[in-house]
Amino acid sequence: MQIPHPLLGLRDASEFVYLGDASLLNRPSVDDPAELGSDATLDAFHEYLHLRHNPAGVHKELWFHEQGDRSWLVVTRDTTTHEILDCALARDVAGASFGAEST
Amino acid sequence: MPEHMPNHALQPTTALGGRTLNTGSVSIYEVTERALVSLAFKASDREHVSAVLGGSLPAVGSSLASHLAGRLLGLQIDQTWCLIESTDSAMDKVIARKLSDTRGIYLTDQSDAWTILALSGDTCRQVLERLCPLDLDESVFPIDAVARTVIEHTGVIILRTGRDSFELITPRSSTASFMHAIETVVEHVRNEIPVRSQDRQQDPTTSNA
Repeated sequence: MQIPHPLLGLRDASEFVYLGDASLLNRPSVDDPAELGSDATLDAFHEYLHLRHNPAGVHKELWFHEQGDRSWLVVTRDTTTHEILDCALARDVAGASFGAEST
Repeated sequence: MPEHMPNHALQPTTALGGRTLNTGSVSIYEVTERALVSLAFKASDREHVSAVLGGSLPAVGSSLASHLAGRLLGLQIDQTWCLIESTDSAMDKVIARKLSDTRGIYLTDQSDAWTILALSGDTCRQVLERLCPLDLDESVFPIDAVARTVIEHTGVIILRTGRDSFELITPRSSTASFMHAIETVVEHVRNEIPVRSQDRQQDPTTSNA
C-alpha cells in the first residue's frame, strides 16, 4: 500500500505507523473547573477514549510518517477496498476543525 | 597517571575506519570531513527563519546551497538540516554566530551521531532500488532532492548529488550493519548480468522458438 503524502507524494506504507481513528484529534475540553468531575465530562471522555465507530467503508484515521518527515496525517481510507480517498496533514485538519463538533 | 596503569593513547576513528568499496561500476566511501547541524523552528516561524538564512529555506524534499550554513536539507516542515564541509565539532555555534537573529531557532550539532556514505557509479541506482522504497526516477527524485526513509530497517536520509551519485546519511551506531547490507546488494548486482545471460542460453523455451 502507498500513501499519497501531501508534501512528499506517494510513499510506501512501511514508512508509516498507524495510530487509529482520527476522532482522537477532537479531545473534549473542559473550560469550567467545576465541571471536571461532572457526569457530562466523564461521559464525554469515556466516549473519546473508548467508543469508536467501526465502519465497513470510508474511515478517517491517523498515520505517523515515522521513517519520513515525522508528520501526522489524516488518511481517508475505504476499509473494504483499502482505497485511499484523501490524505491531509493533521496539523491542517486540527487547525481547520478547532472548536468544530466531532464527526 | 600511576605507573602500573597502561597508557593508552586514544585515537579518534571514523565509523567505518575509512573502509571503501569499488567494484568498477559502483563505489562507496565514507565522507568524514562534514558537519551536520539540525535547525528546528516552529512552523509558524518559517518565514522568519527563511529571512535570517538569506531568503533560502528548502521545501520539504529538496535541498539547496546556502552561503551561511552549507547545504540545507528540507526534511520536515519545521526542520532543516545543514550539511557543511567542516570538521568543527561545534558547528552549531559557528552557524549561530553567522545568523543575524536566532530567536526561535534551535541549532544542534548532530555530526557525531551520523555517518555519511557517498555512493556513485553506473549501477548505484540498481543497488538502491533493491534497498529503499523510494522512487528514484529523476522525474520524481531529481538532483538535490532529499528524503528520509528506511533501508534494511534502519533510518536513512538520501540526498541525490548527481544522476548516478547519492549520499546516504545513517545513524553511526548501526553503520556497520548498514554497510553490510549495501555490500551484499552490490555483490548481487555485480553477479546479476552474467547469471541472466547464462539463463537465457539454457532456457529451452527460447531455444525451441
